[in-house]
Amino acid sequence: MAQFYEMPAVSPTMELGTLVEWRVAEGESFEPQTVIAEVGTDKANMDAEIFDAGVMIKHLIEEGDEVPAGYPIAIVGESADEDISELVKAFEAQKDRGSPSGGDASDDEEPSSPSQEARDEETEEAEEPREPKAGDEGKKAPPPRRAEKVSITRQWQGRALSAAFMDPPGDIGAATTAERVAASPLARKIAADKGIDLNKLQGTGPGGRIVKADVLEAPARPAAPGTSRADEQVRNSPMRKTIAKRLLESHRDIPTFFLTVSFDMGGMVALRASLKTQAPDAKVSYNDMLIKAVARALAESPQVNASWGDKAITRHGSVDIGVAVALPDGLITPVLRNVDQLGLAQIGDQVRELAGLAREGKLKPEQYQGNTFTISNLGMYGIEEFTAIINPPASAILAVGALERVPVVNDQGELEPAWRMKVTMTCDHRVIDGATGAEFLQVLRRYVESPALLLL
Amino acid sequence: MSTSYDLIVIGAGPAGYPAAIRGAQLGLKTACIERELLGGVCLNWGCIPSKALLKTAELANKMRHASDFGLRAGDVSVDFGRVVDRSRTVSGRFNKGVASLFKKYGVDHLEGTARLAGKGHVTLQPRDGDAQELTAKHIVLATGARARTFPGIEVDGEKVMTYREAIVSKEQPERIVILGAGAIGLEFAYFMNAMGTEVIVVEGQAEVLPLEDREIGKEVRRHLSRAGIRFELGTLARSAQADGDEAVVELDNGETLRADRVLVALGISPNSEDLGLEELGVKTERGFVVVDASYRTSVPGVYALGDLNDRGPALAHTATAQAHVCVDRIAGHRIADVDYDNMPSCTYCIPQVASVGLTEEAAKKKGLSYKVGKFPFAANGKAQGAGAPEGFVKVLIDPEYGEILGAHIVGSEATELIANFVMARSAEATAELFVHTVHAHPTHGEAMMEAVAQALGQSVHL
Repeated sequence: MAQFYEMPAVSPTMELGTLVEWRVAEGESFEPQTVIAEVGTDKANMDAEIFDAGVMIKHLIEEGDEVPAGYPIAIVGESADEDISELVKAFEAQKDRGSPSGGDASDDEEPSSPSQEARDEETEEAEEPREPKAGDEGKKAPPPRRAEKVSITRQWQGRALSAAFMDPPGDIGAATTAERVAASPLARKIAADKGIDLNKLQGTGPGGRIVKADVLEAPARPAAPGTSRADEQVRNSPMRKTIAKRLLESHRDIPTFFLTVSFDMGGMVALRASLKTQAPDAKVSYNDMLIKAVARALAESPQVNASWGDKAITRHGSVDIGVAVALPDGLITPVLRNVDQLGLAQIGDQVRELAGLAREGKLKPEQYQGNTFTISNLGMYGIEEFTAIINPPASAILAVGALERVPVVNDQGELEPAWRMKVTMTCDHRVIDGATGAEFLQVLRRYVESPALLLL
Repeated sequence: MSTSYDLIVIGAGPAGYPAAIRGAQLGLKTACIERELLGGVCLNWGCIPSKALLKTAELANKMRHASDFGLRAGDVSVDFGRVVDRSRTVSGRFNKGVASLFKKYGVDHLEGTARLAGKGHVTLQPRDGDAQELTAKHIVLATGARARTFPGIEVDGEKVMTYREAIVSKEQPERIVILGAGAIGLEFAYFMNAMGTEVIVVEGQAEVLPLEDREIGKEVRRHLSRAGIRFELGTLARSAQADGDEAVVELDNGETLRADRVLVALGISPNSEDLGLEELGVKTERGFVVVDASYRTSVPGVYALGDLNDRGPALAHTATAQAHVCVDRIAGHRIADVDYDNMPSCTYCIPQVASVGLTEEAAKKKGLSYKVGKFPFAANGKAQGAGAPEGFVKVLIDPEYGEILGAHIVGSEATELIANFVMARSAEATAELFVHTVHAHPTHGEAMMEAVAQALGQSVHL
């Protein structure tokens, strides 16, 4: 008999899941234990399995949709021509009332074709994560995202979902929101109808609650001269929310100061040129050498390789460096462990492997948690210098600018061209004092400017 | 005794005494001046004693139908003096309660008559002794109102009375003419009728309880008529006056009514005289003190609450709500305006009437679209069991968003039930949410849920 397949809770803490990709198309049959979809949580993408054999009769949500765990996402059954009208009716009834599956999807969104094409599993090259590759045509573009689904999903948050679904209570307006916007049921209903974002309103009700009058008085968009495209609401992915939460906490809770130095990179430029000629297969980048230099400096600076705690500062026994990796919809910081004990080539290999996993959304928690220091490099974008936000539990982050050829005044008082790179370290002042940080940068300078030491 | 205060409240009725207590709670050095009894009209001559009388009336009528319940009670005879005594005892209890609250919160209770004597100055004239000069940063006027009279209506307090005399009178009239079919008029009509007095109610409007939804008034009148009350609607009393042992009322329609008592219940007049308002330049309109949403008068530092001001219906709970907003703002606290659109209104005759929000007539007049839901108590199990199947719940629902525009209850427990609708409207609960909220079974309250469900086309029991 046909039945709903519900969004599985693929991790114990998962509340919302994003349907990243359907792995079984409509009409396709599947064996027991088949992965029928890939599901994104706030941490990683996971496989959603189905336990029995059957046929995928209908997809109820589209790729890119975010729904709570337990929410019906597909109808599965024993054969493709089963009568699913009852189930569809129940689901549609819910949709009309503003359920998570969204309203009429045909207005502003192309109907999504069943994803027949197998996903291109080939790992992308680490250097070009954002560019679509030639030969990648089979890959489905991410579906457009619509603003109204955000509120729709919110309404379902925290309810007994599957039971509620089969016996729909209707849109009673008793929304419990993920973000807990204080608003009356009536205000919510009107706002949803008029497409007004409650987050942008100031409530005048008791305790700042948004009431009907606030929604009705929401200012109309002022007419701007010229034509403009309508604003687009890009739904916050689980990762986006995690980034927002963690960075806000860090920025708010940690007293920081910044130390900027300019390194003479002549030695590194010469070393890399030499390695390229002598060991062309090794593929050692400046970044790899810098990671190595930081690791050696950290090994000598236990006061910096440390974390704040209310009772005590922990001086870490290992040097675990997080390396920020940009992703199409966010960033993540895979962690290299015991970096002070790794060779340059090993560092390079590990960075590329972790970055690859990161871009596929396949990092395991132990591969991105618990760094003791962080490096963020925007040099490849031509950024001369910048400051970064500390990635706890690390107490410092090194923001690395571009390697540049600049005129410098040499010891003889003459102008000469030289390779320079500016780095700015953001320090947690609870752990690192100005002098401590400055001393660390002195040690780091020694390794960066005399890179032969890195080979010892 | 101290003569300098942060806050002086003049009047200790349902506006004044909460204002004083709230002020003291918020740290203001507060005095409350009252020339009569603490608690004002509400507690001493209005809301509270009348509820005691009405309970007697309800019991008497129930006892007359005791056999319906399988009981033999015999003939019911009325000891009118004791009925009134009981109501005085109840009032007295609450009157003392206010005194002890004043003591508890440190409000100075000053007895006497007060008058504004310039900015920040109040003259207190005690019953005995010399006048005193008091000063206060803030002066809150809460002197209330009294029954309104008209030329030709000659209130003598014996034959032609207002509620004030009627509620303490221990003489039961044989025949009474009540002018006005508002809440006070109907409550007295029901009480007197239940006590065995012949009752005639005169109302200028076409229906009783003219502020209520028309259907509600009609239902109440139907039941009161059946109990033997005579209604003269659509006509006004041209005159009312004592005539020997009787009182005579001449109606616009030419009829002359004779009775041994006339009760004048034609609305209220504010007690704004002799307060020194004019001298200080406090603006009034038809006697009512003009205030803003924070109850500030045209003179800084002077505020007016309750029946005295020109805002909202003249109800005790309106006055108390205003007191909270006014004093909290004086003390610098943020608090939302009083919501007059969500002010419940109750009448305590049997069947009781309670309502909040728009009547159907008002919704029509505003040009709103609405759906009506109605549910009779006859279809409600608890009401049937209680032997009170009269009346119904009527709601007006906005068809677009399910806002509860108005709710009207006539029947048993109506005045208790209405709080649910007031709360729902205050929280802006939608009709769908109201119906989805589980109501205990069996309760009168289920009728509210069913009425809303009716409007949505979802009622199970009708």
